[in-house]
Amino acid sequence: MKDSDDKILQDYLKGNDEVSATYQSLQDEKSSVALDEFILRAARDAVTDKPIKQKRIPAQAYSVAASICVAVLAGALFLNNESELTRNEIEAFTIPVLDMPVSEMLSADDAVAALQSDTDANINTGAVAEALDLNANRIALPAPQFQIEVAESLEETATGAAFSTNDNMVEAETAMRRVEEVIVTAEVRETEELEARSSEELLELVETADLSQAIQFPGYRQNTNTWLAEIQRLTQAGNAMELAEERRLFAQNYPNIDIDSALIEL
Amino acid sequence: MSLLSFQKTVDKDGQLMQAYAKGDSSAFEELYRKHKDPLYRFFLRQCGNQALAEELYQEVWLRVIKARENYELKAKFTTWLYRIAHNILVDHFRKPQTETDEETDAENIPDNAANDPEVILSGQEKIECFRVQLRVQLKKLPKEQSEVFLLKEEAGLSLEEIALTVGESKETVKSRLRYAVKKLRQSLRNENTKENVMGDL
Repeated sequence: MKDSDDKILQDYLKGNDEVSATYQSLQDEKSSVALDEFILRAARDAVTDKPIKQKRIPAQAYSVAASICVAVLAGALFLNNESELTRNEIEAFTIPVLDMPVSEMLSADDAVAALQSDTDANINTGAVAEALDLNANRIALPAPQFQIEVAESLEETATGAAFSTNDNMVEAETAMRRVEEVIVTAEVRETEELEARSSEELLELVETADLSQAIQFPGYRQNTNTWLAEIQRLTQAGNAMELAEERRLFAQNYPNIDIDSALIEL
Repeated sequence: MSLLSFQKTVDKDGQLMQAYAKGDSSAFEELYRKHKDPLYRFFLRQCGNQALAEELYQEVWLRVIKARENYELKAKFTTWLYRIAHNILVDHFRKPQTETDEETDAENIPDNAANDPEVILSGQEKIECFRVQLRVQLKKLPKEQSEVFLLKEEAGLSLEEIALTVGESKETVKSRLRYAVKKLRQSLRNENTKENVMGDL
């Protein structure tokens, strides 16, 4: 039985069977024309839809918009940094007189006079101002006033920010540090500027040999001749205590110079 | 079919599909013209309902269109096409069947017009009776058996290709086909015998 079944199958597979022949005669059914047209149209639309698929314009537009936003943000950050630089430049510009007290700002002449009567470094400052006929108001007032305002605004910002959130605390600390840096830098630059001016003027005085004025200059210790002139003046004035102090300091600074011999040569 | 001609066929249909995937709609049209009627009859014989057959047939082609970019020239196009058809058919039969789905056109056909002794059939009518009988018997076959038979007759697939399409072993396919052919052959033989008897009478 099984052998006969296999034979039937083998005959069928070889095409030698009535079943296959009869079935092939049944093949008169076909899909409807409308259905064919529908499927072919769908196939064409799917292919022509490709560009529409590729459009994906929304995604591309979003990426372009995102790029523009990034560019705008970058520009804003750049401008912000530029404004920060400008502020720093202003601070640097106003540094030289920042450390002057408000009293000096308002009455620089009085402050200079007060300094003249003081001793040591303060005397130097006052004497330099007087000797050079320095107009303290002219130098100090315009910039310091602005500088004070900047410093005060910075301090206000820092103080005000200190009462807000933790993030603002950081900003406040940063602002306070900036103020401190400005003040320290101003002190250094002010000192350097004054010393430089003192040295220049002293050298001029020495060159003109006007030692009588030079001894009043607070920077007289920076030059041996002016220092010796001061010692000579104190000797003539009979101011023993100051004379002894000056001689001691001179000997300390110039141990290779004999004061008496130098005074004779002077 | 020699291996060379088989390979050429594979290449041609597969290349047409790839051409369509690249945007050549005329390539799809050529493919469609070639495979449309056998595929349609495959569904019509399986469902026995023209409306349902058209619905499933349309679903196959729409899937082909949709999957055009994923098609790979690894298997024969016909195998790929009928694999989709097989999956759609399996999905359909897994669904709860409605009365409309169950009703088939074949059931409206007289079981055997030649059984009526009052009817005298001409030669052409006899052939038509055979065809009707074959349809009815085909409809009566188990789905698995009728499917492999139709894949052989309509798609022209080999046993290996049928096995690949339905996801069964070659031996299983062979067995199913053997039973299907035997039953159909038997029904035709019986019909022929009846006709002969009727002729003697």
